[in-house]
Amino acid sequence: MSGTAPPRSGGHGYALVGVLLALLLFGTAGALWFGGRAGEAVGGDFTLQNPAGQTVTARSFRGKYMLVYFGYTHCPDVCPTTLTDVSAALRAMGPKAARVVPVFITVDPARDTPAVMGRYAALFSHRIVALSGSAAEIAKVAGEYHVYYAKHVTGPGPDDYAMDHSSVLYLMGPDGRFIAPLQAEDSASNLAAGLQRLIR
Amino acid sequence: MTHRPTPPSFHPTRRRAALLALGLALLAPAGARAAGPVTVSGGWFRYLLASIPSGGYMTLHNASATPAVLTGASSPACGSLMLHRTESRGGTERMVAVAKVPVPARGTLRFAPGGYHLMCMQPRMHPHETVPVTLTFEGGGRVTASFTVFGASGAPGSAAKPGTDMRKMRM
Ligand SMILES: [Cu+2]
Repeated sequence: MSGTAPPRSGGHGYALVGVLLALLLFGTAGALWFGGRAGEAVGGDFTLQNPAGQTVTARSFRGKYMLVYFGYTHCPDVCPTTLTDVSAALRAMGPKAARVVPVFITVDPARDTPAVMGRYAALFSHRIVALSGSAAEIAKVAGEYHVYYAKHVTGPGPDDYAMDHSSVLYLMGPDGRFIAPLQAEDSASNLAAGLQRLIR
Repeated sequence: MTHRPTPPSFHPTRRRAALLALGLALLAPAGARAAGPVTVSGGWFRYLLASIPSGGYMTLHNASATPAVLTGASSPACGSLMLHRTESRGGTERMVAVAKVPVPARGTLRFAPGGYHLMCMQPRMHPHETVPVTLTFEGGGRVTASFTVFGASGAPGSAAKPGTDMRKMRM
């Protein structure tokens, strides 16, 4: 994607517009990333808490691939389906799965304490590292991963809200660098195939 | 990381609630339960933790020549039970409450992960149980169906999102 050079001719400009339109129409997470964030790095350092209450940073995962997903526990529809697919994909991958750490980061730190995150993630797979943090720590890591999230009030009570959030899986390399986005909506078998292809 | 067992005092209450609902369903006059031509199949809940909402899924079949409109749901196993839909736009997921869900004439409507779901706000259920769900339709029709409770990974094969080819899903 060399979309940074200003178009010199009308034709070039139309082609660029066409490409951007196509990306918008496809509307996939990957397209969103490439179309909207070209040139900006995905990922970076973070400081978060694991379910045992220990501090974890991006460097804690060096040497392993990270499969990063942002969600929240009061999400009974999309998040469990994605975490189920990720767990099944890793089970289906055989020995290569040992090189991947699925990392689930909450976008709802007010309700998702480290302990709650741990109990929730353990329902799917003990491989999943579930991370929470302060509102500021979550905002920082979500920003680094270009993850959009917003509270959306659903009723009068303090607990009556849902979180709108980007639903993308990010594969990060053993050096911490971003490799590729994977579609969270994909089936477990497609996810396993994608990971097999991307992990050396 | 341990899964805390449900407190023992919880079970009798839950069973009583389920029995009460079943009793009421059996005692109610047939006209009060029938939603006319709409039937429910394959109902299930994904139970996670007692403190977290459970998602419910099902298939509605409308045998009549006129559209039916689902307007509400209730269950003694849920506290409040809402009609929800997940909207997906450009990789962002958003859950919204919906007031009405149309079921086409001589048609089928699926509540499936990533789309329409029942949102069970205070789940009082456990995997391997069945719990009753009563659906209310425009015009006052009601139908009660039995939903199977599954754990976090859901009903077998349920991970397929709407539009996903089921044949590619089997692993
Ligand atoms: Cu919902």
